[in-house]
Amino acid sequence: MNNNSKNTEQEIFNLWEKAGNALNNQQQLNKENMETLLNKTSSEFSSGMKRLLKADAIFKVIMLFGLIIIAAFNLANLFVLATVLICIILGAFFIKIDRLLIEGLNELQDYKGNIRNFLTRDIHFYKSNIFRLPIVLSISVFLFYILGSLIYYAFQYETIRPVKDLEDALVLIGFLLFSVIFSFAVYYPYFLSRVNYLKTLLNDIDQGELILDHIDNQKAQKRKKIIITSILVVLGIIVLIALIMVYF
Amino acid sequence: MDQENKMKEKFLNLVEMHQGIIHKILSIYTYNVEDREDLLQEIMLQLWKSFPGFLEKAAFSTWMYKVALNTALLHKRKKMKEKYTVDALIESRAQQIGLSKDDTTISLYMAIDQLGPIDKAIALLYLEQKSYQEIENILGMKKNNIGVRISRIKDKLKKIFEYEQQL
Repeated sequence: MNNNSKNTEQEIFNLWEKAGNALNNQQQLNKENMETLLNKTSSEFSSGMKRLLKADAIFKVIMLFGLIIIAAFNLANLFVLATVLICIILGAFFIKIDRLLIEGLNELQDYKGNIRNFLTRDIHFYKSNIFRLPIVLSISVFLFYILGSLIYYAFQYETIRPVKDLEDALVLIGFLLFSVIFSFAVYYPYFLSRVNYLKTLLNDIDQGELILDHIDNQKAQKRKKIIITSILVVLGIIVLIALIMVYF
Repeated sequence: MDQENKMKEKFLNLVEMHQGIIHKILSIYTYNVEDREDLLQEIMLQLWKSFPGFLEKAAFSTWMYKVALNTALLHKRKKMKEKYTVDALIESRAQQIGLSKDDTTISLYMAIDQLGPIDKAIALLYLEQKSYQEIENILGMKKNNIGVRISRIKDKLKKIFEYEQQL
C-alpha cells in the first residue's frame, strides 16, 4: 500500500516534469513578443482604479477651469465668486486625495515580502479607502452640476442669481446627496467584493481553522451589505421624491 | 533612456531564461487561450512594473514566483471553468500543454483543477520541488502549516489522480 502510494507520488512528479517539457516546447516567449506584451495596457484591478482616478482628477481640473472662466465673467457677482472659491477649495482638496490614492495604488505594485504580505497590504488599502473612493468620485459629479447650473443661468437669464431661499439650498444639498449615494451604490459593492475576495485568499493562506470564522464573517458582511443597500435605496427614493416635489 | 534600455534588456533576458515558471503558472490557472493570453500579458506587465524594486540579492526565480503567482491569484477570469464540460476541459488542457487527450499528464492537470487557488500555488511549488523555506518565502505561510497543507494536497492529488486514471 505504502509502496503504491510512493509510486503514485513518483509518477505525479514524472508527469509534472513531462508537462513542463511539453509546455516549454510549445510556448516559447522571445524578446520580440515580450516587448509587445509590455506595450499593452494592464487590465488588473489596481491599474483600472489608477486610470479611473487619473481621469477623475483631470475631469475635476477641467470643471475648476470652467468655474474660473465663469468667475472671470462675473467678477462683480459675489455669489458666483464665493461659489467658485468654495468649489476650487473643494476640488483642489479632492484632487490631492486622488493623487494620494494613486500613490497608494502604485505602492501596491511594489512586490517586497511574500504573497501573504501583498494580500494583507491590498486588503488594508482597499478597506481603509472603501468610503473615501466613492466620495472622491462623487465630488466630480457635484462640480459638474455646479458648473452646468452656473452656465445654464448665465445663458438663460444672462445673470446668475444667488441662492436666496430654502428651495434652492434644498436642491443643491439634494444633488450633492444624490451624487454621493449614486457613487456609493456603484462603487461600494465593487470595492467590497474585492476586499472579500482578498480576505478569502488570505484566510486560505492562514490555514483551514479560519474557515469557520470566514463563513461567519461572510454572513455578517452579507447582512451588512443588505442593510447598507436597503438604506441607500430608501435614501435615494427620499431624495428623488424631494427633488420631484421641489420641481413640480 | 540608455539606462532604461539596459534595464529592459536585463529584464527580458532574465524572463526569457526563467519563462518556464510563467508557462507552468498559466497552465494551472487558466482554462482557455483567451484567458491564458490575458494572464500572460498581466504577469509580464506586473513583472516589468515591479522590476525596479527587485532586490538583486534575492533569487530572480523566487521573486518571479511571488509576482506571477500573486497576479494569477488576483486575475479576473473571463470564463469560469464551471462553464466547461469535462470533455471540453480535457480537450482544452491537452491543447494548452501540447499533449494528446489520452495522455496521463492530463489526469494530473484534472486533479490539480480540483484544488482551490492557494492549494494550487502550494501544489505547484511542491511539484517544482521547492523547499519549505522557499515556499515560506514565496507564500508567507508558516513552515508547520506548509507541511500539513502539502500532506493534505498530496493525498487529495493522489486520490483524484488515481480516480481520473480509472475513468
